[in-house]
Amino acid sequence: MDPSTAEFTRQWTSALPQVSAFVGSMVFDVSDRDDVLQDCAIAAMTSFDRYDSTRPFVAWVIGVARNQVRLYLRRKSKDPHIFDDDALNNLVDAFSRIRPSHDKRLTRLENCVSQLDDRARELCELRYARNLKPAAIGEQLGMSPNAAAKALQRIREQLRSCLEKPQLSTS
Amino acid sequence: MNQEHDQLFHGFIDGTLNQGELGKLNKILKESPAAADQFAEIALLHGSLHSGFQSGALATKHTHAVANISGWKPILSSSKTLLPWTMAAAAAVVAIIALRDPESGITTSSVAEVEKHHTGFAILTHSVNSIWSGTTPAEGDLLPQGLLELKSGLAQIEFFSGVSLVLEGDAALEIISPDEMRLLRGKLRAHVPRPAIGFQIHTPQGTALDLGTEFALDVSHYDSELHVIDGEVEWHDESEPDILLTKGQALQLTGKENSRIEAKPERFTGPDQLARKIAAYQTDRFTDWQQDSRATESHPELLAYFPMDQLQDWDRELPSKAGKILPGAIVGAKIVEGRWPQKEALDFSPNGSRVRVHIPGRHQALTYSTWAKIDSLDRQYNALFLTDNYGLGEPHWQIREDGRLFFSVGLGKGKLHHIFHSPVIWDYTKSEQWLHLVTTYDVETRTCVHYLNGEEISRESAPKEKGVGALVIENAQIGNWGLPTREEPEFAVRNLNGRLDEFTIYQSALTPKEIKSLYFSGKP
Repeated sequence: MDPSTAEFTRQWTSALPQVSAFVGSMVFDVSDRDDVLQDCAIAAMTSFDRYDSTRPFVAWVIGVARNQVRLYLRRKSKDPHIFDDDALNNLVDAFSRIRPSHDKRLTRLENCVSQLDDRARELCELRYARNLKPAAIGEQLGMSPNAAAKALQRIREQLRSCLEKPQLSTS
Repeated sequence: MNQEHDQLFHGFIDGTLNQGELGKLNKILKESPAAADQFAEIALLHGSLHSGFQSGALATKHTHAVANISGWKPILSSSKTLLPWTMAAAAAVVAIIALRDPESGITTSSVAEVEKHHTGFAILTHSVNSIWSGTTPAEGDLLPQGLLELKSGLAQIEFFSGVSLVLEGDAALEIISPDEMRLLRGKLRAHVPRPAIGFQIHTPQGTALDLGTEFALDVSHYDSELHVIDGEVEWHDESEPDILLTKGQALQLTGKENSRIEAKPERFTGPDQLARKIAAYQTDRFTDWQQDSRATESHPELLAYFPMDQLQDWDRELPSKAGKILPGAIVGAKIVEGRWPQKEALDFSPNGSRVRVHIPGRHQALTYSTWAKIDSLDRQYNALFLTDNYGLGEPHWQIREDGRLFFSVGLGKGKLHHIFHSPVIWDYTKSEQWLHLVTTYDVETRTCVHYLNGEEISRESAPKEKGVGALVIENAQIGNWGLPTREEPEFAVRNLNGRLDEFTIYQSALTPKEIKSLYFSGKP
């Protein structure tokens, strides 16, 4: 492995949580996410020599990811209206600003999920393990799509506030 | 924390937002970096949950069965990374390292490619004799949120939700989202297909909520009329319980008192009548053009003229209507419909398409004029009209990939030419429009002027050392460039991905006034 490849791999791996979150929030189709992320990796690597190392790598690589996401949306989208340039730029900045410590905090997620009640965990499993949308979840659990969506929102809010809390070691 | 924002953020990641809500979300993200931060946090949590459950790291006994569908090893809770979704990405890195073998030499990058985004909730599909006040949309334009005032004429607007409406001037409407609009005054007739049920039109007196098929509104400041032509419509206003109207029923609405009247669909122009009016309008315009075309033939400065009229599918010769110029040879290009159904154009999108022409002489000035309907600019240079070679005094007229007109005159071997760029004249929103493109060049002043739809858009003079003694065309091509030879069988791909209708060359630089009149006589 030549030195620049090694350096790229190191940087890429450290920026992955933010890049993945960015791509994941824009690309709904789960099976397409990996492809888009892979395209990002390739694009970032092939233009790594243009990266100015005095600037944060995360910000640069999310900029690269943005172009890949837009290409993907153009190929895929029947809906010409997703986000315009200004909104996308703000999002790129926001994802670049996510504190590196954030991913450490996310490792506490398991603990927070385990504190959810059974119903909430079931909802999470349907949504995240089986990739069901609120309408389908509602059907499974005998709720309206709107109620399922609201419940998911509440669960995520609950998890966020759990993650915010200072935590005791669980081991 | 803003409740409405949160609802939109969560709705977005769960994929439950409608067009109007997406528009709102876009606006919020655009205007507030703090909101974007909030959104990013939620998205990050969403991503982690997804990865965690998919990998099995967050799975309980119920989910282990599905955890492995994507083929990733479950990552145990002791693992430092709780983002196994990113494992795929790590694998991608390994894959590219393999790809990056020096022999394979990856040199291209798509990073520079920028996705084009449009904003719009509807399309102006047709207009007849339309005069607008304020924003003047052209046929094929995307219509974003906002006010449109049609002073006179007819316009057909199709919303992305599927609703199609015919608007009669004088009318004013505000587009709110793909399924919501406001009619401030004027008449419209709306067709609402099944997927668009729930389409709402607000009026000063109340709101019409469509439950399917067809209805019409006539709105003034004081009262409105709602006519149901087919299907059902619900009327909501402040003073009454909601009123359900069915086929053949109509209401006169004042906001206070509503009275039943007889439905009169014939008072409103429907799509079929609009189609007839469009056909009649096109016939008139085509007849006018035919007369103007004969006038062009006798223009004193005319050098070459290919009107592209009355072509047959099998024609491989492009008739010339300027005295000494021989017909052009059509290669590859398809004969297709032009600006009007009665007239043809040439489609240069098939590989290698071109029209070969020969135009002799030395010229002190030139004007190139054509009508173009462009599907895409996917080449670095997209040909309009280029001389076979690029010797001293030979002009090249093209469109750059970024949508700017590009005119240059060859200075001979090894000498760097001057490029006259116009501002951007084309993007994807214009792919349904016929554009009138004109460029003039004057040898003495070395001045090049670009025009779009009759308006001057740029004027520039080259430095003295970039001048030539005369312009020379000789062998040239419309719609492409580059002839392969036995020695060099490869040629650059420059054929225009689109249509050209009518191509004219004058041996003088026409004035802005003359060019404006060319535009009005050729406008579809």
